[in-house]
Amino acid sequence: MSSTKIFLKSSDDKTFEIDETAARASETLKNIIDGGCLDGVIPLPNVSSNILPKVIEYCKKHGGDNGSSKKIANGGVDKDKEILPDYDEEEDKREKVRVDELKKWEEEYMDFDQQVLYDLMLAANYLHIKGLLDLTVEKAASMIRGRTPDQIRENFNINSDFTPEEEEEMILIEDEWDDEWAFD
Amino acid sequence: MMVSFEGYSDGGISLQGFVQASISSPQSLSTHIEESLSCCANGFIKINANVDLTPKASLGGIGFVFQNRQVTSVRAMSELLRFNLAKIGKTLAIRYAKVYHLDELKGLPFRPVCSVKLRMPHSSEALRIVFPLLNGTDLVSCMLVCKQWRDIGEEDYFWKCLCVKHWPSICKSSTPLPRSYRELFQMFSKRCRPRLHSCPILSFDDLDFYIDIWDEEKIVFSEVIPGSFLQGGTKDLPPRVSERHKNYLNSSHYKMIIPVDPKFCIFSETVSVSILICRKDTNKMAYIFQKSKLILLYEGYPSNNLDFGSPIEEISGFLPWVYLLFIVDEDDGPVVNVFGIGLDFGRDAASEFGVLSLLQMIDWG
Repeated sequence: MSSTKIFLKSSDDKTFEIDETAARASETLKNIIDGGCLDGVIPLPNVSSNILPKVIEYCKKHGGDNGSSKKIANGGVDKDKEILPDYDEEEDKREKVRVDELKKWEEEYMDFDQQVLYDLMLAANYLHIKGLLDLTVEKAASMIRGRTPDQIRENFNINSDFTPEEEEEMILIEDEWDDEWAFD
Repeated sequence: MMVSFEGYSDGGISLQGFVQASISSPQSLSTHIEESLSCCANGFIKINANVDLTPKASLGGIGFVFQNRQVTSVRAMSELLRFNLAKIGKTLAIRYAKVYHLDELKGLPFRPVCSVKLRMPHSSEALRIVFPLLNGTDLVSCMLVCKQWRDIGEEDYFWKCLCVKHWPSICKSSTPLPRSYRELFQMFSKRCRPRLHSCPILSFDDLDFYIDIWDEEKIVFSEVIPGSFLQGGTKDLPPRVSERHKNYLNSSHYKMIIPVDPKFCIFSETVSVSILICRKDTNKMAYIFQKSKLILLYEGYPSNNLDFGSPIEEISGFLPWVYLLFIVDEDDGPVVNVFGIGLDFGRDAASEFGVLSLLQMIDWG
């Protein structure tokens, strides 16, 4: 494993260090590295110094990882396993422990407020870190799904800025959709 | 001068990170472009560029760098992008909008730039990433949260995502749809009530059928079939077709058969169908099936007596059927090979005229 160090500069001009293997968790960084576009420090003007360490933490955990996070997405069960002829029960157990440990780590990792959530999502999107993007987007979606507009406002700490007339109109739309929804 | 334009790529393409604006103009411009690019995994891109242009200059081109590995053809990509150039003060011509694949960039004079600044409030871009994951009800709830969320929710892209989930063939139409995707989705989300409308007498030439068939969750058939084609139907049957199909095809009531070529296979017992109809004379749309299950009847499977048909769907008081015509291939285990789709409006519509009269009555939104 290569332990080349990569330097990343945040929007507010702070420099952070990351192992190349970890940096490769980001498609964007990986392409910059592979494309030979690396001259010293990689500036990341979309990512602030509040968020960048958080991103690096994720990359360190997932750099060189090939697939454990995917298994989490499948509910921790690898369907293909069952049909493999040389199915190894011990290996499967160890894999399960790894997946459980990663899940626990992700739970702790994802414990932050919603402004961090936005910034982290955008950083993951910009740096093309699929696992982190999925994680953050899914968290945001879960704060919306099945909730009323009031509950969503509360979750995201938003105040309604509609005029009273607009509010009234909104209530009508809301009722109509509640009554008439035929899909999903 | 501020140039601002935006594009959408159709479905599921991941655009990421880089934009490179290049100025190529006969005059050497003292040009400074500061791009502001924001793009999401779902394919929405918006670019604001500050361009310092002399009066006669024009913006030579804008290149986009895509990282998506699935995109192999640059040409195919650029066709997916449509640009609307917002006029600011005067018209600016964009001569070309070229789409680069990352591999192509090697050897080009510019590098992937990181000098990209987000000028939109962060949360807007974050919402554009999250919204495609929501269903219609949640999206409406979001639009009631505040003005910013409403404005974003009004973007037709998210509604297109929802429409395409329900009717994948909807983006295969060569003519523009009569309504925005949002209007379409909201219209069809309302339960149909029997309603009589006075509108011109229908003809098959005025109809397009958007037909989608799923084998469990996998889409196996997704096409727009012109009414005139459906009306013509097929008379040619493969030699090995079962007695049951022959009986069905020979029965007296009116049915419309579409040949399926190439054939598709069905592996599960859960087959579902959606059919949207667009009438071109009044530019209105209606659906007759919305992911309805086709019932699989069997007699001693894997004999040839399988039967796929969808009866239990009642719209405006009539009973349309979708019927799959297939042969069972025994070569590699029993495989159901579908070679035709039958659309049948039941015994109440025993003629072409009967079918058109029924279609006339459904709820054209």
